[in-house]
Amino acid sequence: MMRCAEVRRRLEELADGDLDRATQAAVRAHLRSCQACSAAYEDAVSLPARLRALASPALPPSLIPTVMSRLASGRRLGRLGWVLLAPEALLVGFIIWYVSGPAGLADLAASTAGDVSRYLAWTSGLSDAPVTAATDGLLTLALAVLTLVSAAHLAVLARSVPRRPA
Amino acid sequence: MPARSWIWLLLILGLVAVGLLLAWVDSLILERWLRDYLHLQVPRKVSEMPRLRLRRLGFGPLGKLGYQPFSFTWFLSLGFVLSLVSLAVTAVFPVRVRVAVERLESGGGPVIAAVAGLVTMLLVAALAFTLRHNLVLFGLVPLLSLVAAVLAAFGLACVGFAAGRRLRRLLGPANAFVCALAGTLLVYDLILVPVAGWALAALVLLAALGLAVVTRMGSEVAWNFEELDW
Repeated sequence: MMRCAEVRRRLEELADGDLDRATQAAVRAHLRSCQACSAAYEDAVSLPARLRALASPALPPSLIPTVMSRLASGRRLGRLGWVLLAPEALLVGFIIWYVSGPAGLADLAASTAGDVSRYLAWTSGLSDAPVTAATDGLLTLALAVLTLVSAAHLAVLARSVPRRPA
Repeated sequence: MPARSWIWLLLILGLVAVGLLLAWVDSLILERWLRDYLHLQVPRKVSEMPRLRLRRLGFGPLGKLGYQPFSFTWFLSLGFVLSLVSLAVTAVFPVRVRVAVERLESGGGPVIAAVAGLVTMLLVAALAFTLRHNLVLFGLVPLLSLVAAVLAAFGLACVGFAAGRRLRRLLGPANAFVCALAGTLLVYDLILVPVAGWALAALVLLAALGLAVVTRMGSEVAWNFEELDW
């Protein structure tokens, strides 16, 4: 017959199923006859006790630097969101200058709107096909660059994380 | 009917009354300022027909009914459509509205939305002008405008609901649709304030457009490009 001290040492192994068949039978026989050891066994197999027995995993050394760099990159995104307004303003300024000022820009917008209505009328069979605008390489390039910069800027803004409400 | 419900009812009626008054004032001011421009822009045969018909129906006293932009009826239909869109968006996309409004109410949210709206406008304009050089791709321009309009409508509904939530903090609990309606009417009234309201209207429109873009129309799963890094 096993003694209480020996049984207590083997309770964890019993709970984990690590004992050989003979030892397991001896420990269980003791548990049936000893109320205190039986209570200790119940405690050992309870979920909180099992969780407490688990060792906490060691934190990877890169955890804190990674979190801090993520936070820092969030702040940088905010700055980048403002900084990208500068090339956009430059491009818009160049385009306005290139089309001869705000009046030229208004003409461009009006002619584009007119082309849209002509295009819709053409697709409905109400008029002839619209004539596409004469290609201006520099203007098209500036517009294409503005499109790309704006798209990139939107991506930056979409990823910027605002502060939590106070 | 509980006292709080009366307060909300009176508020909405008051906002409607103020909106009507401001629409009337705005139509008078704009009609005077834009008279020559509108005569140039609106073809005579189009502008005269509805005027004649409406006079026969007896809507004459206001004298501003017609199909001109910025007329009294133009402002009325704008307010009506804004309210309707706000209620419809709140009813159809409640979760999306909540996500977008939470983003708007967070610190820095309005600024990010306004900047994103400005950038979206630049993007749409630059893209439209670029597509203009290609007859095949030119068909995308109306589609682009439609997408921008849908985004702006969603964003405007969210801005209205956010304003309604502010009112709810002041006046006490109310149904979400009552909040949305009151908030939208408040925004509508503010953007109709002569002169200053027009700048606010531009700002609200930009913020609405940007909010819809930044939150991907209130999607719970935000823009995430990390999925592409595999």
